[in-house]
Amino acid sequence: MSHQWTYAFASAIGTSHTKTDSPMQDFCLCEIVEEWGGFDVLIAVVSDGAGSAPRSQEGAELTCHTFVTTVRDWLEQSGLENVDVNLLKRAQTICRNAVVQMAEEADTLLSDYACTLIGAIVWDNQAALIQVGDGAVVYTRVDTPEKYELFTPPAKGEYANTTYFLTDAEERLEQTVCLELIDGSLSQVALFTDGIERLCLDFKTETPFAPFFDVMFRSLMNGQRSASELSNGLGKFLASQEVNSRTDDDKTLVLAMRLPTSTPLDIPA
Amino acid sequence: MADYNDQVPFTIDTTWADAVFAENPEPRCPVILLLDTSGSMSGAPITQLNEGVRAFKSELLSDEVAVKRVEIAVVSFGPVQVVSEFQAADTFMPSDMRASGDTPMGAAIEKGLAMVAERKQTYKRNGIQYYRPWIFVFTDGSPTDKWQRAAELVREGEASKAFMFYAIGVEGANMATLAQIATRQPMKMRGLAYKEFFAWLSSSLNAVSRSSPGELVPLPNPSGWGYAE
Repeated sequence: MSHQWTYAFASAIGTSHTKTDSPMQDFCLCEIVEEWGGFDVLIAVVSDGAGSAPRSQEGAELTCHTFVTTVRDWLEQSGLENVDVNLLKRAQTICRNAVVQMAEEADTLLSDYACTLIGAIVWDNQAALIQVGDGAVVYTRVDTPEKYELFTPPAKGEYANTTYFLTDAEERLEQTVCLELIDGSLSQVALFTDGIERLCLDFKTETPFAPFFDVMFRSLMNGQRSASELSNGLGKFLASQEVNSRTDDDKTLVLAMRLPTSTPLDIPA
Repeated sequence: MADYNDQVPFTIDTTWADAVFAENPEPRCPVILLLDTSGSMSGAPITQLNEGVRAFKSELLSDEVAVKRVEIAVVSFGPVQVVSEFQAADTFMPSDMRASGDTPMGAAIEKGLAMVAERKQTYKRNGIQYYRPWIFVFTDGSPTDKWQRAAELVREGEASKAFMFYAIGVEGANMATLAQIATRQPMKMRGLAYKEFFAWLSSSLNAVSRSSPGELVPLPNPSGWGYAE
């Protein structure tokens, strides 16, 4: 069975990190999983490690792998039936616990691994989204393909250089996490870290900047190319002078698009 | 771009490269200087101060990020006077201040805090992100007005992380009173090291104005211009 989705995901190091010899602290993953009932489900995740945390790139990488593995296992074992807000919350706890364990094993502070988490599970007629910290999710619906919607604005503190992390105290996390089950069929989804926020969101109106996403999704549609070829092209774009002249931070973008030939089944109520 | 790419077979990169970017205003880093220009500052002190402020402007201008993000306001006291409203380094035109009058530091601090609060509102209205404001007060004496309310406002603001407030005493300053106003330890300036101070401030701002979320910004060592008593 051919997949219903085409997708690409990539991260590129920021020029400020190159200058100071610090590592890239962004990470992302995206894959299509065939769930227990045979439907294709998109799993996407991005994480941005805090600049101040010495091991945040490990935190970001572990968070992404844990999120994808956890969700994939659930889908393969029990299908879509139980995917809801509570399950997202469990995924968040499992990701956080994985980082907690890593910190304990290394005998270091949890905050050394500080990182954000944005995750998406998208299937035929619903999507489950989670966000801790900055960066954002932008999507369109099959019914309104022209209208880009922002899941939630990047969660900054008051100041430009503050945000929230998966590794924050659990009581704080409870306040800052954004979880939602969206009814309806999404046709395009983008997840990204704060490094490209200023390029693709209009901050004044807190809305997605449509011309940016138009080109990104059009690029995804160009020819029948594999996810790795597309990701390669996306990665080169993120590392390009054009992008680097506008941001010196690490930047990550995941793009996924439902193929037009495979619109979801219309199941009568 | 099309005319160039049309000559080569289609490559993925060319389509991504058509990206159009949102033009958002730069995040801003507001700094306000509250400067004692009372009578006791006349002579070398006021001359050095004026030179320091001019040097500050040119140092900020030499940093491509700071020049877009740092906004400076200046209030002098003796009497309280807004020398310059918040503006970017390139439009900031520091006019020479003259020494005269007494030292209404309390009123100057209250004025400065009000200007910072108002600036934040302007940023919010316009969808501009901002860094935590920096407030510096310089004096070579003691406040001649009531400063207790100002001290209370500083305490509240520091506790709620509304700004960072630094007090710097020049030779002759009443460091004990400064310590009652500022929650951070006041610094004593070495001689008239205004130039060194402003060089330090400019490199600190260069670092902060390009910092990203979660980043702790190590500030340069201030020992070139001052020390904690």
